[in-house]
Amino acid sequence: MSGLSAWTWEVDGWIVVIGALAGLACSIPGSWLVARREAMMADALSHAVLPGIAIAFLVTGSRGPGWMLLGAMAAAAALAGISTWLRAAGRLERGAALGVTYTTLFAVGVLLASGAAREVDIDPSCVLFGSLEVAPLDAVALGGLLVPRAALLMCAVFAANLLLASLLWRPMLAASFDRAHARACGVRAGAMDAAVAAMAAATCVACFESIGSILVIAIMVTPAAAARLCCGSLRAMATVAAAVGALGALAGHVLATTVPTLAGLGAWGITDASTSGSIAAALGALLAAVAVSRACLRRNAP
Amino acid sequence: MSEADAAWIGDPHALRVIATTALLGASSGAIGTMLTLRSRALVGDAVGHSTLPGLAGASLAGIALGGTGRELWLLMPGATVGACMGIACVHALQRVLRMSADAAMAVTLGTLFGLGVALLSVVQQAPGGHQAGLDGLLVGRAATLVTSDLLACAALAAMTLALFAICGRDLRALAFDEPFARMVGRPVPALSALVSAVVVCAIVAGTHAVGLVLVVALLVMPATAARMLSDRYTTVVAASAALGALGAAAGTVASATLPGLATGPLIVIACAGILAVSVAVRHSRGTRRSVS
Repeated sequence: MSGLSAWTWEVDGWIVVIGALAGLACSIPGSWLVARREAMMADALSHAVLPGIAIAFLVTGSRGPGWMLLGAMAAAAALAGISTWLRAAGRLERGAALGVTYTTLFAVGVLLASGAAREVDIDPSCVLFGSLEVAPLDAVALGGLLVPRAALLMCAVFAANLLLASLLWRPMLAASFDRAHARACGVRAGAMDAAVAAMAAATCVACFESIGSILVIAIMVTPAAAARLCCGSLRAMATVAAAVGALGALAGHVLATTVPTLAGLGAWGITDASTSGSIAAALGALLAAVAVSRACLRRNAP
Repeated sequence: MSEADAAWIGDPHALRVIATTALLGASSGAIGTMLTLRSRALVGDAVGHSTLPGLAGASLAGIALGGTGRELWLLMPGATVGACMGIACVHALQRVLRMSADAAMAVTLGTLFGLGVALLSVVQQAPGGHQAGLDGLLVGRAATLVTSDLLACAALAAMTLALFAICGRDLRALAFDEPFARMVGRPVPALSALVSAVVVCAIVAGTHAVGLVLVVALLVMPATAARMLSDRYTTVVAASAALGALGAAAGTVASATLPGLATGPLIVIACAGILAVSVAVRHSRGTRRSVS
């Protein structure tokens, strides 16, 4: 049967750990994006990488992760480049520039993927939905313990983000919030914008292969937006966002494995819902909880 | 192959599909100007993704009632409920929690699309649900558009035309100077709600034709292209409707002549081509004024 009693460490435990590590890895770029009012970048990135992946497959004929990552990064760079150019040349506002660019890239990607799908399936819906459920199955032995590759990848992404953010923290702050000050200090604001975009893009691309792009959007933006409700500084925001993300991963997987049974769907033999989707929904609920508790605290404050 | 491909000209079904997507493109283009001019271009993206939980919930209800989960009379209200939920959520996050527009949209999109994915995974495990035909959601199913879809899109176009004909001046005030519109006593909340209602209808119709991911393109691309070509409000709205219809029709014709390629993406690529031409035109005029 299902429910919490059926959890096993090898599968369910790792699912929660991978989700929590993804929350940790996404907390730093997520906080930067939300604070810079570029939150929709996460959504745009996760759609725009599709043509890069399809072209990488069509050119190399392999589904190896290296080529896919390279193609996805190239597509992310194209998104950033074209939308920045449109903002400058067409004088578009940011949302419109992003919207027209990523939908075009996604449309090209869908056509390429449906062309490639005749030989091998790259299903656009699979790329979009991903599946955290199968991530623990792809494990490598590490000191006698079988560790999923996805967990190691998330750790590596977190370390890289932490390193980049701590090296460039001050110049990125200046470029994000006070362009005049940045110029006066000799900070190259354009380069710092690119650094934030590259951090977000690399995190999206690295994460979406293992946890699915819908969860990447949610886990990058929602915890950071929740943290923004109660934190003033960017450091505090990133810390709270990481905690909210990890909590959401646990809550989401609990919901995914219990709610279908509680809702009486067991009669149809349905015991689980999609974990990625459930975590994304749970993160939204956590944001609502943060908002409500903040309102209550304010009301009770003297 | 060539005979079958050439047969679409004069084929009533193909003409019906072209008319439907063109009407949809015109309506989305016109109402899209209200989003781009108010710097809310991506709200269509958040709302488009929000239709998924409504569609999946409706499908689940259909199966529970003993149906196939594919009944349009259930799916379309479901999509509408989802879209309304999405637009209400974006508004609430901005107004109540004072979130910036982009964060409100991204949070809404992530949460509701996630909920939709979770519901969809349940639908697909339900008896008969794996063939619920929801796979066309992402990129649409323009080839399956029937007469009732044509009538629905004609109604949408009539509704959009009526809105601009009756409230054109108020909409212009709302688009360029909301505080002014408020100050001179125009019913700003009611106007915003009307615009949102038409946006929701355009998105629900659009998810059927081009899919819930690409529906935002129909709202944003023609409006942006039209803004490149003119600085006059009425010209922008009219040009946006015309360019939307042109892009949608061109994409549909392209997919009828190129077998095996989905209509939704081709419509988006046609609109992107129109936008590229408009940017080039604006550039060649050497206009230095800011577009917003």
